[in-house]
Amino acid sequence: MSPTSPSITARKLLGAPLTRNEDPVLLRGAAQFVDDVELPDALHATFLRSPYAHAKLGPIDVSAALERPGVIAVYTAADLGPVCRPSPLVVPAAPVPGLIFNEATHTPLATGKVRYAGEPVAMIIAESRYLAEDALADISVDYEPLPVVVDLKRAATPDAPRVHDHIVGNVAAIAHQTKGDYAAAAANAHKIIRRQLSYEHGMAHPMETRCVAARYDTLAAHLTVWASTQAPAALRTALAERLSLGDHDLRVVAPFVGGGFGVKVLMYYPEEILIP
Amino acid sequence: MTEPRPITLHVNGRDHTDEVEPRLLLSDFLRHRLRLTGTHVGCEHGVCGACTILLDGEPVRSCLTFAHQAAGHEITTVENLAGPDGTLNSLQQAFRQAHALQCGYCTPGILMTLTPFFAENPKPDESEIRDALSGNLCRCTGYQNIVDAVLIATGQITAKGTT
Repeated sequence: MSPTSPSITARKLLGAPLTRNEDPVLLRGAAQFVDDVELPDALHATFLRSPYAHAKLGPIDVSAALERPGVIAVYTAADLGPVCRPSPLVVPAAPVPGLIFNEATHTPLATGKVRYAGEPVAMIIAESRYLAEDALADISVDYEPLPVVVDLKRAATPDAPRVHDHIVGNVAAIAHQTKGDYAAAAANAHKIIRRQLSYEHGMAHPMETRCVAARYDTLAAHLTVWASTQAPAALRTALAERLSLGDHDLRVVAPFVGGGFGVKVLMYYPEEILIP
Repeated sequence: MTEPRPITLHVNGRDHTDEVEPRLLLSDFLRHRLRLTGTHVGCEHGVCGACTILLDGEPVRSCLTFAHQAAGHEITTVENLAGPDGTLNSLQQAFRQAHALQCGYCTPGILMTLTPFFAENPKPDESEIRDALSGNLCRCTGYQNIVDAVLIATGQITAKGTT
């Protein structure tokens, strides 16, 4: 089609309201989201989460859960081997001169200790979501509670309890950024305002929560993953690396995504690693 | 106690017979037994409203209802709003015209909340519309375009660019 095609020029695109192509299927309730992917005989996973913000993890007894009819498997960090290693940084440290950056990333399941309330400790696989959730109550975890710190200023003091044992004061990064000639600007300033800025804990709450479905085709030796993600290609490459597969051995499908707001552009969530 | 029991549900004008556990949620019955996946599950504890369906014409959260509780009642889901050929009804069309949805995940629940609302209140003002929407969470739109969609659907304003 030539650039001066009448069919293009006749349609006013800029400054005109446009209807979206995807709206009818969404409005009819016919759009397919991850939980709408119906896989025959699919098993369901649920995660046992820590009730403590900070605790040493002792023995985890999963025997009662394994005896429950319909429960297929229970995994803890110890069962996962190298799959349960710390994830790489998703967002690299900013290139700021003199930056001090204390890297610490999470493992898919808590290893050694739990570092926040709600951290996954065990994954249960069962024939249905209802049975998997029943089995949560069967697992007994020996937690030894450790001191907690919930105040940001207090957390940054040298003697504060440490989330990661190697990071004194829980400080993730120290960055000094300058721009322009402050001394000259300050000398000519009508007024100088000093402020210490505190940021709220930013949270994104998509209406569709995170979810993952996966199917391994043994005949084709190919893995298909359906994920509510904003970054399917990056997730494919990350999963291939974690599962020791080639990029061509798996495909990540992001069907309709029920909101993301950035949380679904990040990766290495426990279920993203463990379900495939 | 948890043994499956026979159940017949009347959904979108048709009877469906099955055997399900007493604890099976209506949302799971609709989605995973009947494959009516337009009813979405957001919070699964009655806060977000995404799972709203009509039970005898009243909006009800299907994630807080057991399938067995709905036996003998008339259930309507979002799949029943458009015509048999897929033609959007006036509320659905107004949503599209006003850009009242982005990701579309909350939309089925909002449509099911609004359907009986403006059947009872054919000319709602903005505060009445916001009150009706107060049990449905939407994270994309900021609600303003949803309010506009209701005003369009009830003939109180005209969709932009269509005059």
